[in-house]
Amino acid sequence: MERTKVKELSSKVLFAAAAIVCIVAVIAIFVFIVIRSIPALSKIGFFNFVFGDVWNPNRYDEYITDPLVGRYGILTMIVGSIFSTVGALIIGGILGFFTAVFLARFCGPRVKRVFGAVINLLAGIPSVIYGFFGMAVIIPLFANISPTGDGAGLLVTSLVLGIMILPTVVALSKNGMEAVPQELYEGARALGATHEQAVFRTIVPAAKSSITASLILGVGRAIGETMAVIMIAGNSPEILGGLFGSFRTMTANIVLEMGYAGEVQMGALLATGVILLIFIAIINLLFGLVVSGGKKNKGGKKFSLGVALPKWLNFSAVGKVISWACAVFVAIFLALIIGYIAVRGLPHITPGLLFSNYHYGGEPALLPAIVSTLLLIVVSIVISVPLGIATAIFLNEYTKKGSKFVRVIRSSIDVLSGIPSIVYGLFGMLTFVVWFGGSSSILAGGFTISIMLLPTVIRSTEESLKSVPDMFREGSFALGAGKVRTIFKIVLPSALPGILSAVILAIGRVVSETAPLMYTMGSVLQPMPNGFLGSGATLAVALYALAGEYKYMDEAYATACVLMVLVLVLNFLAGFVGKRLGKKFQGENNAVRKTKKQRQQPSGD
Amino acid sequence: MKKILMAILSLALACGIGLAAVGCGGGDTIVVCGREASSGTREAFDKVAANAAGDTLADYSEANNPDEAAEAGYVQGAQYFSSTGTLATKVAQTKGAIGYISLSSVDESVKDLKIDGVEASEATVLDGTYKIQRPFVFMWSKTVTLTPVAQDFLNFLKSQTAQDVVKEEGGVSLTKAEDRKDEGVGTYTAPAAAPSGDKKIVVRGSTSMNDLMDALIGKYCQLNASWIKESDFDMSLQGSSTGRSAVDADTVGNVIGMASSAEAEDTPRAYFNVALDAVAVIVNPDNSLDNITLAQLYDIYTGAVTKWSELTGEAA
Repeated sequence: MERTKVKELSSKVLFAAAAIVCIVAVIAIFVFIVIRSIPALSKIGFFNFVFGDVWNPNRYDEYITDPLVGRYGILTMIVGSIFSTVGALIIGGILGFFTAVFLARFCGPRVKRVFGAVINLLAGIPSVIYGFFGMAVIIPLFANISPTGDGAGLLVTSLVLGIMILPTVVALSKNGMEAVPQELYEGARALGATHEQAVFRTIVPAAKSSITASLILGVGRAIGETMAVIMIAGNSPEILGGLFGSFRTMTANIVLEMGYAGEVQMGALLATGVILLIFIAIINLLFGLVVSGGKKNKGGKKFSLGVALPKWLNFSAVGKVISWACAVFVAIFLALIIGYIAVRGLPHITPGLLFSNYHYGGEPALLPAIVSTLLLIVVSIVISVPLGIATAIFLNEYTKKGSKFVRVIRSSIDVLSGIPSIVYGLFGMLTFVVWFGGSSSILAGGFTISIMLLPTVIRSTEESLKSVPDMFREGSFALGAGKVRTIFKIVLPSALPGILSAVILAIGRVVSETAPLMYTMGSVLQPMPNGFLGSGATLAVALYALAGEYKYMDEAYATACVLMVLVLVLNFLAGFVGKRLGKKFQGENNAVRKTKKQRQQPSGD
Repeated sequence: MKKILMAILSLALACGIGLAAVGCGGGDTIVVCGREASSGTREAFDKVAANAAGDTLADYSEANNPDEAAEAGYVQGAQYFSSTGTLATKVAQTKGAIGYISLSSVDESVKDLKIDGVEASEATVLDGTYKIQRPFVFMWSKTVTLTPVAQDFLNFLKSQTAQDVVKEEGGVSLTKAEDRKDEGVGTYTAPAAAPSGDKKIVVRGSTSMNDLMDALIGKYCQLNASWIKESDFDMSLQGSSTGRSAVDADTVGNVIGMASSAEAEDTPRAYFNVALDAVAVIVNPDNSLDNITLAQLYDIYTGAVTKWSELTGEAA
């Protein structure tokens, strides 16, 4: 008895500790950025900073300079970030939602498996590739309708960002819709609803919280994206001039000027990060209102996602056709991206490029980058996955629903998910890099990216934990199992496929991130890393470095192909493992469902 | 059957959305492209492109009246890129675009223009007739004594062996002491035994010099294979300005900074110019223009000229 109690208690403490570590991470980043930006903000003046429409920094401005030579107003960039994110949400949200509906309810299992896998592949494509795709394929297309003769600007940025948030939106929304009990659907059909009505009136509203969560993560990704945006937006710090005007987002502002910023300028860039954080907080608050408004089903009713769906979606086949159309559009786009990279890159993949060690002054070779990537994956997964899963377990299994403490943790996690990766990079550079010996290292990069992965892991683990019916837990308790045993033997195994997909998304992000790693782990092609404390470029960073030198474009595209194959293999592996593990449980699941039905039959009307 | 119909219908819908973007357009409007402000390439370009009165683009950026809603840099609507690769890709893909990159990165996908009638070459860069050029600079701390290994590496960088590497990499090597701003080319002899102390050498700075430094480190490691490993070099490149700040922050004496634009006369750092590099002005291969003047460049980047037809005289 005593031993069980100790076990129970110590597990609870461990899970709670993980949750607290997450909060501390958020607070640390937040406090760090705010404190470092206060001197600049007070020097410039908060009002002048936020509502000033001239950005003309002077790198020799210091806090003692009076008056400041440069002008530090970021209004134009705030506008740019808002418009591009809203554009991305409109495009990516609509496409993603309907594609998820299509995958969840309007297609056969084979299409679902293949198409779903391909969309997951999208998550692994580095943003640099999206940027090049936008520059090389979409912008020339848009140039035809642009009044300026050039397609760069808001429209292409929104489109590319929309496609980039698709995997996030689709994966989470689809998981949510699949987790809706089949009984709801059957009930709707039994009441005379058509398939479309049952999907759009029953399943979608029931999956509302997952869909909303997917959109939050999507917005976070869109507003925080830097590398793709700086290639296609034009980056001119002036007021947005229509769909095809050159504009700059806040993240672009940070990444473009961070490298050489003077004292006041650096403070202003950090303050830009603060404004970004405020935006993320506002977005989260709004979404929180939407979700709780939907739950209460009054007052907030008209904001609620399920109710806001237009009525005509239910009638005839409109909803179905739109779902199909979105899915086909996404498929075409995917085929274009993958085809483009394959055509440009495949001919240049050689054994020499892949498997030889790189030496300074030699031909580009990727083996060190591959090794660095693997080491980084190991570090970041070892840190973020246990921590993330433990936090999710704490939130979902140990806390009372709706408690204030949980709400604080949850909103910190949402804030964490919205912090742009470049801000993580800066934070990592000024903390982890210093701790691990003052120069870039795989360990520093791993720690930086681990914090970044936490929200993704926590959010998706929580979603899959939620989808495990309470009945299972009750059954386990009834049989005399303790909480810990229930979690590890019952809840976790049945949530495993969802957790695995979270881990895949996480690995995909490790593989495809560049912005936070350039400042923490290494920015150029280097020879074999010296263990975890050595520096090195990951494949995605190597890709960016190769593409940055115009003459290695072929090698860059070849690297992109390697990256995609890597992500494909990862997805396949995880899918395979998930299936093997999930199968054992699937049997039990069905059995339980059957008994539940039998039990309910007599009591039904 | 129903499914096939549905597929066709949705395909049509998707194509409708996707291909709505087909119309017609020309390439006559000049799409002004440049590098971000931390770029050494941009510094070099902005210092040289000037109008008849001698005002350079650098002056234009610095002196724009803060009371006007003018932005830092070029004409309103100009696009800024963070690397040679993205800028060159943009110009290669956009009919009306103009930009500038290091001459060593130019290939057949873009077209480089003559400047005031002079084509960029080793000879024209050396004699100064090709105007848009900049030095590649190595910098180290004046206040901290370099470690024995860093000092040996520096001796190597100053040597004829290094100049040979520069030539191989397509740069214009500098042998005259007054151009190099130092005592001139030295001879390098590899030390018989490893110098004492820590072997780590930190390299920071310009991305334009990445290739050159790669080759130099490769050569150095080859010459000193008995005692130094490639992994003793810690290299991370984020622009000329980061090289300068890394040298300023050096407390150990093992930082070698690189900048791809000239150091100021009153610089707090020790430095020498290892080579010269030409900055090529590039346009789309379909562009009929072959030659451009510095004044025209100034007009384009400040917005006084917005159409290619104003330069070529051809009908739009």
